[in-house]
Amino acid sequence: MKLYKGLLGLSLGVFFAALTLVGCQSSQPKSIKIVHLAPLTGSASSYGSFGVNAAKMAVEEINSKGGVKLPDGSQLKIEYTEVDETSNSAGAIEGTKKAISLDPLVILGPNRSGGVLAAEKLWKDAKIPALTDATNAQTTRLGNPYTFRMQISSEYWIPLLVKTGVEKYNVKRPAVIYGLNDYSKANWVATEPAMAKFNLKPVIVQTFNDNDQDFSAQLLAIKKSGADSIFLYGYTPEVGKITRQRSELGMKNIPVFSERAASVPSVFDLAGKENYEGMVTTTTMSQGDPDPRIQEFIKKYDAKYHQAFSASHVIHYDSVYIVADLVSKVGLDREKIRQELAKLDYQGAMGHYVADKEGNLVHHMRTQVWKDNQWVMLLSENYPVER
Amino acid sequence: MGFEAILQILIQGLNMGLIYALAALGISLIWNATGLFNFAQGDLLTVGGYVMLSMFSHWALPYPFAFLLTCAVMGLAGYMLSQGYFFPMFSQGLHPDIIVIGTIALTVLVQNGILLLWGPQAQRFSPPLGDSPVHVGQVIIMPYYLWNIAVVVVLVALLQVFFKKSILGIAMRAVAQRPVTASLMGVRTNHLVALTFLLATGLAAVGGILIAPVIPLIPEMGGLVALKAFAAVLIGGLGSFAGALIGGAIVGIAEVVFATLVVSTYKDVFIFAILIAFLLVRPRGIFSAEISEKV
Repeated sequence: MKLYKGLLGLSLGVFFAALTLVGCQSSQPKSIKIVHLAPLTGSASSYGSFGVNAAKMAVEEINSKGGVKLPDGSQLKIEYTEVDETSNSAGAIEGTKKAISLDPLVILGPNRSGGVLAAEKLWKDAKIPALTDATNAQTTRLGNPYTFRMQISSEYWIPLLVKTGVEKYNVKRPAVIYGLNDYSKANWVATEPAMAKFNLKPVIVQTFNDNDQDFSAQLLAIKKSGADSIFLYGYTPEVGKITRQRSELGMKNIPVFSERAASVPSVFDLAGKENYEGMVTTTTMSQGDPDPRIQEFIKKYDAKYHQAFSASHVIHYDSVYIVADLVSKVGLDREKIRQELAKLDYQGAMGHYVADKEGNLVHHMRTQVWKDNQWVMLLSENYPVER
Repeated sequence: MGFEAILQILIQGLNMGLIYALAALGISLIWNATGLFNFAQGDLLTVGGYVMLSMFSHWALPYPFAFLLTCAVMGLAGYMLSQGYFFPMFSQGLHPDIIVIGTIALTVLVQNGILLLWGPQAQRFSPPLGDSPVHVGQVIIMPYYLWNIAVVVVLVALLQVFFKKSILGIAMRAVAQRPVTASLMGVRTNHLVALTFLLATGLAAVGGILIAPVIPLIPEMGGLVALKAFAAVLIGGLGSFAGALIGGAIVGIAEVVFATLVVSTYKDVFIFAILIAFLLVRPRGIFSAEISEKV
């Protein structure tokens, strides 16, 4: 009997020891989990697919070399998961909840300002750093230390857009048309003071709703106002449709100045390339930039996906490399990753990323014009990094 | 505002209105035949546009041939949809209000199917009369506006003849008006309901073909059109052939006029305010959908 009790005790001991060992093993991550909140369905799904492609390209490059070497000498591969956030606020909240349930080290996205504003509290509470893709200045001013921006705030690049209009196109009677969403409204808010610096005032201001199909009323009003330029802020589908309809209403001679959403390749499909000639946009990376690193990335992306791309896509490629770089320095500790992001100084494919006190990581901007089937750079500026 | 500006606004509005009208007509047809609101009608319209895109742009079939083939393929798809999707629900004795949920599910299936087959990028094919605007004084007319108007006018005339003169059309009207009596008279009601689906989906395909040059195709486009088409159906008169057409034109023109003369921001609010006003004051719509008038 004693023997049986002894054996039973030994067996239980071994059993619990094995359980503990398994438990220890399962708590040791086997990969670097990155969840990408991208619009895979909905009106921005085209944009989302490009961003996911760019991020996957970086993941494949890193994993093909064996993964990321951690400070303890071990090597881990990146486990990349894309989650559909549908580019609306409700989708961003649902997507973020799903992303958090996957227990990632870092979240990439969401895409739009409204989505970031709606969902930021979720990743703040979960203490997961998020490399977001929105331009509304407020998204990094909510006291959320886990929010970082891979874009430039509209407060900075709208003044450059206006400056380009004045200096390169002699704009005197600008019209403004913008969508009623957080992204476009922020651009409009930044436009009035930027124009005032040049003693300009919009001769007419028009608005539209997301998913509108017909813009003839607004465009005819702009035409009637005698405007010599149109400052157009909206998401890609509406920008494309407005650009096309402007030509159809005989307003092709009025130049359009727009924001980064207008430099996304899908705008060409919507607007038609023939209607796109002369479009001026802001961007963080121009295909017309002669920088060899940029040209190398363009070739690499094109060879893999046979697609045009925009700066809005390369940031997702760089985001993955930034996470990999930080993991190689501090390991898989989210808090340490956040601290490193807050003092980031990294050279990526798109340019130099430096963190400021608000969590903005990008500080260089360009304006460019679509001319003879290619982007030509117009102006380039950096804004100071306030730490 | 001068005469030419007013004319320009009316042309813009009518162009969109005709598209809404085609979707509305399909919705009305199916409602008449089954008592069912098909929320997927706008998405079937989108599929029509994409099928045309494949045939005309990708496979380089001549425009008229691609047009007719698209309508035939979509009509067949509508027939199969009725047999494989809706009839099993009808045969279970489900109330049409419950089957409406099935049509909403269908919108999700169709949109994601489009995403898989054609991808998320906006796509467009060239209209048959080219993309160069025509100037008539100060008025600018895109050739495809004229093409769209011509196609819809011819289509409406053909449908009138079909419903008034052909045996099949008369039988379809009989099923819509008195299904039990029609059945007792030997009309195969199920077969005719399936043919109504065929016709409604074929009409949706025409809408998709005509809309693609106006609005580039994206997977979720149909939902946006369908919302306005439902407003058109209810304003014009649910179940009325003329009501669908006039309702579509009213919605298209009213939204452009309101956006031009009042404020563009609230043009959708204005349309749906009109709809609410109709539901409160004249719930059967402009044409009151007299049973004898039903298609």
